[in-house]
Amino acid sequence: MDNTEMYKSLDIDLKAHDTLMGALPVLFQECFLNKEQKLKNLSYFYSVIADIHGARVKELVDHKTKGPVIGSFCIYVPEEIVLAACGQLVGLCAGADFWVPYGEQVVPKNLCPLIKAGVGAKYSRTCPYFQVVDLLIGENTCDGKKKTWEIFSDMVDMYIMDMPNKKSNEGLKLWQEEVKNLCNFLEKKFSKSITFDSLLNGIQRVNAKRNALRRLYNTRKNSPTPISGIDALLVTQIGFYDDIERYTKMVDALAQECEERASSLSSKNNSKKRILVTGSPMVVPNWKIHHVIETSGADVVVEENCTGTRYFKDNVSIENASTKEDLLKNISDRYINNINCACFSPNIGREEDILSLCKDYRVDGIVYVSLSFCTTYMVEAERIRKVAKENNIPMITLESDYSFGDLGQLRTRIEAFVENL
Amino acid sequence: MKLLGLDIGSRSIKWVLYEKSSNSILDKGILDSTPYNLERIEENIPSFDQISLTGYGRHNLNDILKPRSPKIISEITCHAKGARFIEPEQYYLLDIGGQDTKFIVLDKSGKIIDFKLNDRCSAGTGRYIENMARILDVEIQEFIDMAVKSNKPSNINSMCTVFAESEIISLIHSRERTEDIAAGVIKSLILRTKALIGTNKTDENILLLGGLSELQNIEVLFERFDLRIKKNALSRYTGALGAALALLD
Repeated sequence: MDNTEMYKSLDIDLKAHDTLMGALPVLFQECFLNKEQKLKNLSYFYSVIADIHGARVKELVDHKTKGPVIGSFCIYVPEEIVLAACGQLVGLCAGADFWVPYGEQVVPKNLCPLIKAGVGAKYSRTCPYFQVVDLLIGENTCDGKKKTWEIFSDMVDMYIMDMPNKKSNEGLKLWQEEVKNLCNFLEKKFSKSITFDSLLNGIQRVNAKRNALRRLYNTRKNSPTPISGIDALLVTQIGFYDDIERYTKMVDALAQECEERASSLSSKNNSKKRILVTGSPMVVPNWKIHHVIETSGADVVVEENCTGTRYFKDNVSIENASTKEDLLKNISDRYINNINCACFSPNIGREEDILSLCKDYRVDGIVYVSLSFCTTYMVEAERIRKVAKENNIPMITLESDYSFGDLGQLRTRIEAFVENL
Repeated sequence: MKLLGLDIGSRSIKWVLYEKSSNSILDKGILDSTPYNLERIEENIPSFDQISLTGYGRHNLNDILKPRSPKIISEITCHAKGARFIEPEQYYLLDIGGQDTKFIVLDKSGKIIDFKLNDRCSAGTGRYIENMARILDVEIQEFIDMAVKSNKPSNINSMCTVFAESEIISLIHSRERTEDIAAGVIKSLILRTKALIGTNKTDENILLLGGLSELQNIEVLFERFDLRIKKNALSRYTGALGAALALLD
């Protein structure tokens, strides 16, 4: 299928886009196709990546006749409300090194690669998802993003949700207001009325997605794990922009296959060490750390990050809700209470999450990964290190960006860490 | 049985030949990590029964060594094994290599409790001193000898080798004494090392490994900036030795 006409209508820089897409198959081959892989239901997810700027973009373009396409960079943006406004939410492109030099033309070099790549993706006009969105919902989490929204607002329609810094009653109140405001804003902007029923429907659809992912992740508690960490990461990453119903169905099918595989593998002895990865988000096509860990003889069995457990942890409650306001309150509660991002201070919930994941997934060691200049996660590493030490869980701290220049150094650290577990 | 440990570092290749039956080192050697040497590595090493590879180039061996199916193991594990063999009473290891700096903590049994490495840049590594010596137009040992004579080390603040270079060039132009500049370079390296270690281990002896350990009087400079180090004649070979010893596991 030739997408050129669609790209032209989206004002994509065709030449630069070709260069970007030329690099992806090589990376995908190296990270996914060179390894042994036995799950047949993964082929759907591989095909989504293979056609990452094709069929799904076309669907979103077509959707625009029915409702808005809305972009976000963060799992604090409530997908339920976007769905209730007949919208589709897509996580925007921010994971490729290709965009970093473009981003650096606009924002400082010593900013995290996720922000630089995000700015670069829009600025270079090479991300069709960015080109297709009617609105970008930003959120005041870290300082880097907070100020970058001002730069984005010159390039794309923006709405910004404020965030508390502290998980207090006052913080929760602020967030509840912000969730309500978003709801009102979307209704007005896109002339869609958000009702109790449409909101309930949105909540049920997102909860179903969370249930499917949770079911998949639960199979990774088995030893040996039925699915490699890099494949599981890929599945979660795709959840950020795929069609929600189809995605949920495919994740469920994969989870079922993993359950069956886990029971057939259960008699086998597993000599591989089990790793929990935690820290900054890992967005497509950032597969670097998983690739190095899993080609160094260990398995990543769980990710405590925004492209891991934080994405699907706990559902929005629909119990005892009789009005739209009740549902909005339940949405606020789930997001603020159950996602433990390093932008909060203190962030005790994350320490507890990591410890319980280590127990549930029978983890042998923690690999803590911060993106370069991701201040909140870099600083929080020290607290997590202390907690891990108190609980006798070995931990290594890594800092990296999207480039491949440090692969040798990363491999040395990771191999040594795994050898000594 | 002859076990060969080969440590392919960023600046030099070290090898140690170990005899299993007598538990002793038979021979050792060192050569530069040039593309020429890397291609013809087998011409520069003795014959062996089993081989183990470590160091930065451990995964990229040529087609002649590959069929000998070498064991591949990270240099951190190897340094720990090698150091335990030559200095069984040392619990803190500091390897200042050509491209990175490693600090390794061992327990009584020789197991690694913790290890730390510098970030990807070369500030605070052997390469850093090498570059700074080049700017002052002296050999590296001469550079150390000069630094020992200084009683007023210059301040060098840059974290980056390239920026430190421009800082040193300004010091040269402002007629700062070369001894003081050399001492300033070593001081900045040691301060950076202390930041990596994360504490002032002034009362603990640290075993220095890597190329820096072959420089005379380097321990005097470490002592001057409050870090007590110890050297061993085999300090530079602990990676290669540990690789050979790993074949016993």
